[in-house]
Amino acid sequence: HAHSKVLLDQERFLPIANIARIMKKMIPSNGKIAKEAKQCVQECVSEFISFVTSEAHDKCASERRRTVTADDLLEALKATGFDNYADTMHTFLAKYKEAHKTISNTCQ
Amino acid sequence: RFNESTDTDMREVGRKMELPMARVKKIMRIDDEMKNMMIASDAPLFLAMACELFVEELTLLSWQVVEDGRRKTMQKSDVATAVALHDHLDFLVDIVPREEKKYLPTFAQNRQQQQ
Repeated sequence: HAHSKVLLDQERFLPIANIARIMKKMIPSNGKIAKEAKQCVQECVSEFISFVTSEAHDKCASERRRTVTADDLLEALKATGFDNYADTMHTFLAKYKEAHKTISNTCQ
Repeated sequence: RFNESTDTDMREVGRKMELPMARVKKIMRIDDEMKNMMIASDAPLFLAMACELFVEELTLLSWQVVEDGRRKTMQKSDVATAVALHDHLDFLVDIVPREEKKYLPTFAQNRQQQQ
C-alpha cells in the first residue's frame, strides 16, 4: 500500500525538491521553511493547475474546441484573477512562439 | 522578466524548466472533464512557467506573514494566512488547513489597525 501511495503522489503533485528550490530563492538566506509549509505549497500548485485548466477547458468547450492551447491558458489566467501574471506570461509566450517560428523557417 | 530573453534562451527553455512539464500535463489530466480533451504541446510548458510564478508569489506573500510575526521559519499556518488575506487565492481555501484558520481574524485585525 505504501508503494501505491507513492505512485499516486507522483501523479498528483510536482516534485517537492523543485518547489522547495523556487521557494528558497524567494526568502532571505537565513530564512527557513518547514517541511509542512513546502508540502502545503506543493498541494496548492496542483490546485492552481486544476483551477486554471478547468477555466481553459470551459472556454474551449463553449467554443466546441477539443484542444487546450497555451493561449487558452493565458486567457484563463486573466479570467481567474491572475492578471498580475498575464503580462509576464504574454511576453513569455510571444517570445517562445517567435523563437520556434525561426526554427521551423530555418528547417525549410 | 522575459523582456531580455533571446531566441536561444527560448529554444532551451523547455530543457531548463524548474518544474517538469510531463508532471504538469499529468495533473492537467486529473479532472474527468479533461479526459476527452487534447492538450497542445505549448500548454504544459506555459503552465509549468506560470506555476513557477505562482510558487514565487505564494512564497513571498507567506514570507510577509512570517516577517510580520518576527519569525525566521515559514510554517504551514503562514501559507494559510497568506491565502486568507488575498482574494485571488480564494480557490485554495479547501487546500490550506482549516483548523489553523481560527488564528486569522486576530491577524487580519492587527494588520488593519497597522494600516
